[in-house]
Amino acid sequence: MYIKKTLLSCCLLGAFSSLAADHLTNSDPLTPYQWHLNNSGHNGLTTNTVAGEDLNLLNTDMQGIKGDGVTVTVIDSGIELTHPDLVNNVTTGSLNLLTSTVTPTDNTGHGTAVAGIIAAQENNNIGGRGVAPNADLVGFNYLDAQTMSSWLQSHGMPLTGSANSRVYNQSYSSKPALFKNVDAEEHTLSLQLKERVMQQVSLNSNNGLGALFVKSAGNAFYQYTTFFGNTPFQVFPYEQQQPFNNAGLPFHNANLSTDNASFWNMLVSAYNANGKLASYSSVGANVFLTAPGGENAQSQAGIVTTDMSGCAAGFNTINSTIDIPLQNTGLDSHCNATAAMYGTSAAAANTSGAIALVMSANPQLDARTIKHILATTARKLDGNNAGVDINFTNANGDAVSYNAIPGWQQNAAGYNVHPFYGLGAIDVDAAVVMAQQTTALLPTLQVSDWHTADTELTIPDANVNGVQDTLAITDNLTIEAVQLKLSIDHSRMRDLAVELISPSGTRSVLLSPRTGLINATGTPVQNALLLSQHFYGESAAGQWQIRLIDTDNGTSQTLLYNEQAGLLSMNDINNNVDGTVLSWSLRFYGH
Amino acid sequence: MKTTIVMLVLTFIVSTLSLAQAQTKNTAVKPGAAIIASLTSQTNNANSLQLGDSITDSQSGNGLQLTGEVLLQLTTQANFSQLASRYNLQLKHRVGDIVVVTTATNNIQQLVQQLTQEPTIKQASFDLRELGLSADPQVINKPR
Repeated sequence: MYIKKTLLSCCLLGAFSSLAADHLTNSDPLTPYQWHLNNSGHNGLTTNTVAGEDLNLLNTDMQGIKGDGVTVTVIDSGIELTHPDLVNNVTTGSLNLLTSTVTPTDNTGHGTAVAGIIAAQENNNIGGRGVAPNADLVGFNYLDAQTMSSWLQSHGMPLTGSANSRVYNQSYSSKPALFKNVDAEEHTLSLQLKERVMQQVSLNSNNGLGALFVKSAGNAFYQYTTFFGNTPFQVFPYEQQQPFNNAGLPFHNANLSTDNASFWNMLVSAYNANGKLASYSSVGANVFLTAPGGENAQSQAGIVTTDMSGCAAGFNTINSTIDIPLQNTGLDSHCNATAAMYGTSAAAANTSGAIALVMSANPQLDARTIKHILATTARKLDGNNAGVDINFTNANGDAVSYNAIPGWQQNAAGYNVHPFYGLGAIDVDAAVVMAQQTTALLPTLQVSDWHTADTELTIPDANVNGVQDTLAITDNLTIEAVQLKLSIDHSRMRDLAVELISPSGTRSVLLSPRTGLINATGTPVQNALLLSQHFYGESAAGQWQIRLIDTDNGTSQTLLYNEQAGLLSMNDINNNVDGTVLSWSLRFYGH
Repeated sequence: MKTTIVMLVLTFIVSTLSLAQAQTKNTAVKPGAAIIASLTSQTNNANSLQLGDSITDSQSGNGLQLTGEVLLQLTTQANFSQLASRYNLQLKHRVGDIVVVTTATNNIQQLVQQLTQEPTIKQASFDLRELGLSADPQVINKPR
C-alpha cells in the first residue's frame, strides 16, 4: 500500500512539475514579500532581490504538501500562542518554563517571529505564511529559563511524555572567546547528559522515527559579544589600523560553541535575498546546510513573518523605523507582522519548516534519512564563491599566500561542500521528490571510538607549510560527520589554521586563521571539540591528515570594548615561542 | 534570572552604542591581558557558591552562572531515595544514571563537594548556564 501511494505521489508530482508553478497562490497579503518562499526578484519592500534564491517549494506547495502531521518545537523566547496567524497551528505541549503554565509568554518577539517563519497559517487573509503552514507548533521560553531541567523539557524529554515533535528549532547560540575543554570537570556531566538525550530523541522518539535538532550557526561573522567572568565585551578585529577589518575572514567560528560541534545538531548558516552569504552569518566546517536568513531590512530584504500582536510589542512598533516600509504597504494595520526579522535564527526556522514539509511528504522516513535526503538534494549556492586567500609575511620575510577558506569543492562521495554553506542550500522540491521515492532507510548509525595521536609536534611560526600528522583509520564506515578533539599550546591562537584532510583528499578547514580567539587564562587549549560535515558520504577508512599552520608573525590585534573598561587590546604581541600540538583525536559518525 | 538577562542585554546595547562614540573620540587602546585575566580569576575559588553566582570556564574564562540545579551520576548501587533524604534533594529529571536535582541548600558548592564524597555517586557538578547564550536575530529597534 505504501509503495502504491508513493508511486501515485510521484506520478502526481511529475504532472504538477510539468505545470511549473511560478508563484504561491494564497490570500495572505504579505506573502508576495516573502522572498524566502518564492523569490521573484521583486519581493523586497525596498530593494530588489535575485530571482530563484529561495527554498524552492512551489511544486511541493502545489501538491498540497504543507507540513500536515508534523510537530515543530520552537525552543526560544516563547511564542505568542494566541497570535491570529499562529493560533490554529498551536498544539498541546507548550510550556512556560518560568511559571510551569502552558503559556510560554514571549517578551521579545523573537520566538513568535521564528514560529511564524516555520508555520504561520496560510489563506487566512492575515500577514504572510509559514514554510509549512499546516505544521503544528509547540513553544518553550527556554531563553528565559536556561537551566538543565528547562533544557531537558524543551528538548524532548521524557521520551514517554506528551511531546511528539519531529523537529526542534534552536535559533540561539553562545559566543565563547575560546573552545571549552569538553573533558573539564565543570562540563563533562552536562555535556554527557545533553548528548545522551539528543541521541535518544534523534533516534528513538516518535516510535523510532526520531527527530531532528536544527540550530542556528550564530550571527558573529564580523564581531561577537562574550562575557569574561560576568562582564560583557564586544570583540572585534583590528587589522592594519582598521577596526572590523579581518581580511575577509570570519571572526567567529561556529564550532566555538560546543553545542554546535555535536553530531546531533544540524547547524544552519544564512543566505540573503541575493543568494550570497548573509553579512552576519557565522560559518564553519560544522555548518550542514544554508537557508534564507535575510539582511537588516534597512539595507536589504529581511524576512517577513509574524510579530507580537499590536503596535506596542515585538519588532514592528510605533517606534520602529525598520518596519516603516511594511507599515506603508497598509497591509498590516495591526502591526501583527514584521519585515525586520533576519539572522541565522531565521535560517534555522526556514530549515525547520522545510524539514516539516519533507517529513510530511513521506511520514514513513526516519529523521536520519530525511537529513540524508536534504544533504543529497541541496543545491550549490553562490557557485562562483572561491573562498578566501590570506596573504602574510612568513618568518623568513617572504610574502606568502594561504587559502584560508576553500571555495566549493566536491568531496569523494560527490557532495559539494563549502565552509560558508555546508552541503548547500535547501531545495525543498528536490527533497520532497526524493523523499517520495525513498523506501529504504539509512542503515543503523554507528559511532566509532576516539582514535588518538599524542606525539607532540611543533607548529612553526609564520610558515605556510605548517606541521602535519597522520592517523590510520580502519573503521569501515560511510561518514555522516567527523569530530576532531584537539589540544594545542599556542600563545596566539588567532594565527592558527587547522585543516583535516581525508584519505580521499578532501580538505576541510575546521579553524580558519584570524578567528577572534582570546586565551584569557594563558594556559594550553585542551580538548577543543570541532565537527566537520565536509566528508559526508566518504569512507572513513584510510590515512587521515591534520595540518596546523601559523599564518602571522604579528601585524594585527584583537580589540575588546566595554563601557567601563574601555578599549582593550589582546593578541597584540606575536608568539615568541613556536606553538605545539599536544594531541589530536578523531571520531566518526556513519553507517 | 529574567532580570539578570534583561540587564545583560541592556548592558550590551549600551556598550555597543558607546563603542561608536568611543571610536569617534579616538579612545586610547589599553593592553587587555591583565584586565581580562583579572576578570576571569575572581570567583572560581570562592568557598560558597549559590544560585545566581557566576564562575568562569576553566579554559576560556567565559562567564558561567549557577542555575541552582545539581547533576549527579550514580553508580548501580546507588539508592537515590536515601541520598535525596540525607541531602534534602528534589528530583527534577532522571536520564539513565544521571539525575538532575534541586536543593534548598544555599551553599551549592559545599553540597556538591559533599556529594562527590559519596561512594555511590560517580560525579557531581553544578548546572551552569553560559552567559551570553542568546537568540540569533540582528534586530535593533531605534527610536523613530
